[in-house]
Amino acid sequence: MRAARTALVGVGLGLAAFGAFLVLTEIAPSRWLGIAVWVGAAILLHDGVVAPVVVAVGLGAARVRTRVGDRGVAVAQAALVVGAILTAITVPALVASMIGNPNPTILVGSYGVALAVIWAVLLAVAGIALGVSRTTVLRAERDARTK
Amino acid sequence: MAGFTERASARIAERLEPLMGAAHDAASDPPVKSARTTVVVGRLLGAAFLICFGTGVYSHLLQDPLPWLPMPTRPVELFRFTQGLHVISGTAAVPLLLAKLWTVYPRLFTWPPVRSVGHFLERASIAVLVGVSLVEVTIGLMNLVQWYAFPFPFRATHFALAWVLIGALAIHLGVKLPVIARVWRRPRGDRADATGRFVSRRGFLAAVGAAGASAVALTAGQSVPALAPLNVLAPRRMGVGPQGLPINRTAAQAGVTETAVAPDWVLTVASPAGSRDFTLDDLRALPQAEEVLPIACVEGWSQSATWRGVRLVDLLDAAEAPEPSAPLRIESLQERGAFARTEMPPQYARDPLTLVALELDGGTLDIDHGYPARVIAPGRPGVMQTKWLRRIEVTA
Repeated sequence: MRAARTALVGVGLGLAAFGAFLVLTEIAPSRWLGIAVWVGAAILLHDGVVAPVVVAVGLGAARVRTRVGDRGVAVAQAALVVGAILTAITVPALVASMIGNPNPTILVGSYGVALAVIWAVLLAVAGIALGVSRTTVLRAERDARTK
Repeated sequence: MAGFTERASARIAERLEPLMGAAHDAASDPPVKSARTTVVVGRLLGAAFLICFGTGVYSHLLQDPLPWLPMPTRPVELFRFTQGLHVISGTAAVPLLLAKLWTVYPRLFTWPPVRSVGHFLERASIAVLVGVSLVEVTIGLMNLVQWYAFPFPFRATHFALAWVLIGALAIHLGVKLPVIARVWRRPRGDRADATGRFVSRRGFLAAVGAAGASAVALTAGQSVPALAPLNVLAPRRMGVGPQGLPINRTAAQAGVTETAVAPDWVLTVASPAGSRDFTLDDLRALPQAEEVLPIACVEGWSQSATWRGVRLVDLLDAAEAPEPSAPLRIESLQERGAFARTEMPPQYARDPLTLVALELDGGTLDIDHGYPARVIAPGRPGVMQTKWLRRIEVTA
């Protein structure tokens, strides 16, 4: 275990050092600050914006789970995750389409329309799952009362 | 003075500790955000990153070959495969990376933030790993759509940071190896479907799997023919372009709309034995060959096509050039751009499949595809398949 750990850390330091060497030798010094800012901003944006929003959504889900039912909430959460990821990977295409490109063979999709359709389908799935789940919970509560 | 700073830091720590504790508790979900979930997702993310790294290094070696390392010319679709896989793995890494970070987010609020020098170095290496991973994936996606909004060159930065990322990943694995080994031994009482506060573990993994699968399914069709009908989110679409083939750079963008159609165009083939100019009619008069070879772009899209023209070996013969043993220098009419001049290692120059193509899928080459003549060789990135040829030089 100790040998494997030492080897991994040693190899890692070597690879990272080579990467740093490439930054210093292959990229103009005037660009270094830009790279550092992007790396720092990526951490801040994730830890300060994306992750807290996801935690907030989770806290919201936790509050309604007993009322709506685990299954329905899980499907709704999954739909939200799928929609968020598909939106995230399509944002560059949306922005680049707005900027425009003189090459007519790139950005050939209708990305806004595609995302709208995707979200409509996902919201429908989530809505149905929540509805079915809530009905099941209500029925179980009624059965429990009448017994 | 010393007393003042001491009191001030004590006050700050006093205020911060409960805040960090509250944030930690709010983000925590012990049974689901557990070491086991982190290892399960981390394994997949690690695999995706290693695939991206390996295929990325391969692409760089094709573009900047090492003199002592000959690159393969077969299978002809090898680069099409590796670069398609590069972009597909990078796309799949988006949900995996965010999922991985979700499982460890509460650790951001660890108190005290730094316990020792070792702990500080570990957290610093994780900061590098997280920041560089997010940037690599982001600029990769932006490059696919040619949205160069970052204040640094794409290729050199993407390549250098990839080494930093893989290095930081190896360090991270070394540091966490005991935790990983513990999870692999499957501790008792650790159920596969633990129910957390926010979601059950299976629910979480299913959501991440669905996100990854749908992201790949809706974009991979730009390089995988079987998935082409599902391709609604990728920047390129198979069959969309002049002569049914996408292009990376148009003739207008390259500034060759006039020079490419000039009546006095000739292709110069130079070698130590002398130089000869070929008009388009000269080229058409040489023996013609037809080959099916893919255009595979570094941006991940690819498509196979039928090319017709003169085999490069026949052209060099006709010019009485010696068999190349060093890289050929190939020049385009294009004046600017990194690929206006490229080098072709000798194994591609000697390959009988390498064509100076004059036709594409049965018609004269469209100007956007490199009219009057372009190079098409097996297993090379599209940017190296020089369009609007002007000069080919055999060096001794």
